[in-house]
Formats: sequence, structure tokens, C-alpha cells
Amino acid sequence: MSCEKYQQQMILCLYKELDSESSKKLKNHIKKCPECAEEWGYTKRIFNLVEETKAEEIPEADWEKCWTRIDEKVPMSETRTKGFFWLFPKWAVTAAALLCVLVIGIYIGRTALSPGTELGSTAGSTKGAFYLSLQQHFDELKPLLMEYAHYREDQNGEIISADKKLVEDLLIQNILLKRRAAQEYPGAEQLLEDIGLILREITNMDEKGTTVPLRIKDFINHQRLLNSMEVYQTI
Amino acid sequence: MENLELIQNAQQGNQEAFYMLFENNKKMVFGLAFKYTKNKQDAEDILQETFIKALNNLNQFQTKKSSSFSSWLYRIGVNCSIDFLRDKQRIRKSLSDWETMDRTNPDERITDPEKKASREDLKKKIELILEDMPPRQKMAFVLKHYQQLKIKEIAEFMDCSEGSVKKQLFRAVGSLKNSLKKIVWEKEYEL
Repeated sequence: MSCEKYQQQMILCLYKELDSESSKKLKNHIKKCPECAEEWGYTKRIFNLVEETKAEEIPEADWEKCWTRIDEKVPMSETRTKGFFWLFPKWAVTAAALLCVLVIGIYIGRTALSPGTELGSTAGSTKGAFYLSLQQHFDELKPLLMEYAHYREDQNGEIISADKKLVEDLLIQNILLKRRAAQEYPGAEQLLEDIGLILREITNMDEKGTTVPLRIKDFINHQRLLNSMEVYQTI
Repeated sequence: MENLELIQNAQQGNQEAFYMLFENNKKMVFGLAFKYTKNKQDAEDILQETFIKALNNLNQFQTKKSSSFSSWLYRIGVNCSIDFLRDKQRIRKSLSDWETMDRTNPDERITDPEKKASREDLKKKIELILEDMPPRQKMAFVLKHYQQLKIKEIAEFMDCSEGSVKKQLFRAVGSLKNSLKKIVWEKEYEL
């Protein structure tokens, strides 16, 4: 075999892709051939140098921007907007739908028949349904956010573990509500945007379920998120 | 929710299922694109392109086949990255036809005596050499050296033979060896 071939095998050997028989032949050749011995030393140095460039932190992408662009570029077909409920069995969806109709019916009935409200105001009833969904969403969110909001400094380093699946579900719900808010209820949009940021932060926690709770606590308190949510819950 | 179920739902046109697939795989694709381009903005563009292509071709992915969704997506990511760099190099080349760009060859840049001392500079020099490699050669090198994949896996992702991957790797390492020859033997470096 030529020295050129052996020099190619050096690369495979350093990548641990050379079988033991060929490795043995290569080592024997290096012992006998000074030119290849020098090349072997040089190739190893190059590998060491490149190895150093490996230690590089990958930055965090702007995931929301990326997803929005994907969403914009691929037009949604009718089937693509089936909603969130495919996650559950059909009977559960049917039962939930009936329950929703009942609850919304009661709510609209009360709103429509309350003094000062015109009977049959469709704008009012749609708004009512949206706020009902919003309240339900906030009810589910509150225990999670409270845990972070009441995190104490002396707990620093302790673990807050959140059910990742639950957080992901909340994030999806939040995205859907935010989209609706952007079209019809801009007042709620910013609040949902802030909540989305927190849920994303929690979703990106490491495998053990830990995260940096103080940062999240500061954000919740700075933005007065719980107070703002309270306002919607008393509507 | 299992990946399989998500894929089937996404194939039926469910947007939320596809969003979950995006959430589960975004870091893997972005990591590859960033290692390849060393540029956050470019990596984000590749990430978007990859998922748009995946969504448009989702029905071609067969859930019964042994290959996983992640591998299928990774392969799309590899191809999008190569295409992206090819376009970028084409634009760069056409620009350099019109104006003199401040781009000397890697050898000259590396031997600049003022920039020898730090390893950070060396890192930049290696990046410059990689930048000048043909897109497929660079991809083979990135997948082998940074992503530590087996040659067999690289061949699958790049849709070529193992022999072809080996050739690309020999050329890539050859370029590095030629370009770095002068500085590797400099005494300033403690290797």
C-alpha cells in the first residue's frame, strides 16, 4: 500500500473508523516510515486543534419568530385547524363540548338577562365565551405561576419541578388564545404574550425538571401577571 | 403524546401536532445548522426552511418504516444547510466578480504575525477555512467532527456512499492540514 493510502487511513484511525487489522498495519508502517511518522504526528496535532473549536455554546434561537414564519409560509388548510381536542378521546371531547355548551348557555343567559345588557347581543356573547376560555386557562395556570411567584431567595438551588406535558399543553392553549386575542381582544394579548414567555422558559428546562425559578419569579412580579390575571377572572 | 401519534395527526393536517413536532425537534435542527453556519440568523433561516419542507412533504414520511421522524427531519436539515451554503457561496462569488472583497486566502490570513498568539484567533482561522470548503465537504466534516456521527450515518443523511463521505473527509482534513501547516509548528502554541 502507498504512503498516500496510509495517510488517508490515519484520518479514519483518528476518527475511530478503522478496523483493528488495518490499524495494526498502519501502526507497523508508521514505525518503519519516517515520513508517515511525521505525518501521523502532524495529523494528530491538527485534530487536537480542531477539537478545541468544539467547545462552543449554541445560542438560543428566537423560537417564536421561527414558528411564526413557518406558520405564515405554510397556509393552513381547513383540516389543519381541527383544534386542540384531538389530544383527547372522542367521548371525552363530546362530553366536554356538551358541558361547555351548558356552561356557556348559563353564562350567556345570565349576561343577556342582566340589567343594562341588550337581549340577544351576539358581540357580548362571543366576548363572554372568550373570557370564559380565558378564565379557565388562567385557573389552570395559576397554581404553576403561584409556585414560581412565591419562590424564596433562601430556596435558591432547590428544585421546582413542573409536569412538562402539562406546561406544553398550557403553552398550546396560550398560543391559541393569544391568536384569538390578537384579532379581537388586544387588551388580553400582551398578558398572554408574557405568560407565553414564562411557559417557554419552563418548557426549556433541563431533563431533571429544574429551571431558574428566581428569573421567572422576577418576571411574574415585575409584570404583575397574577394581578392582571385576577382582573380577567373577576369580569 | 408519542411521536408516532403526533406524526399521524400532523399528516392528517393537524397544526398543533406539527407544532409539537417542531417543539420536540427544533433544538436538534438548530444545533446542526448553527454548527454548520456559525451564524444564528442563518441557522434560524435553515431551521425554518427545514420545517417548511418537512411540513410540505410530511405525507411522504412513512411511519411504518424503520427510520425515525428525527432522522428524516435531520436529513432534510442536512440538505437545507447544504443548499443554503451553496446559495450563499454563489452570491459571494458573484459579488466578488464585481468588487474586490476583503478576503485574502486562508494561508495568508493564518500567517498574519500579529494574530498568532491566541487560541481564539486560531479558532476563527479554522472557521474561515471551513467557510471556504465546498458545502458537501463541509457538511461531511461537521457531521463527523462536531456531531460525531459514524461515516455510515453520514452517508445516509447525505444520501451518498460511504466511500464518497470518506473522500470528502480526506479532502476536508487535507485543506486544514495545508492551511494550518505554517502555524502548527510555531513555538507559540502549546499543543
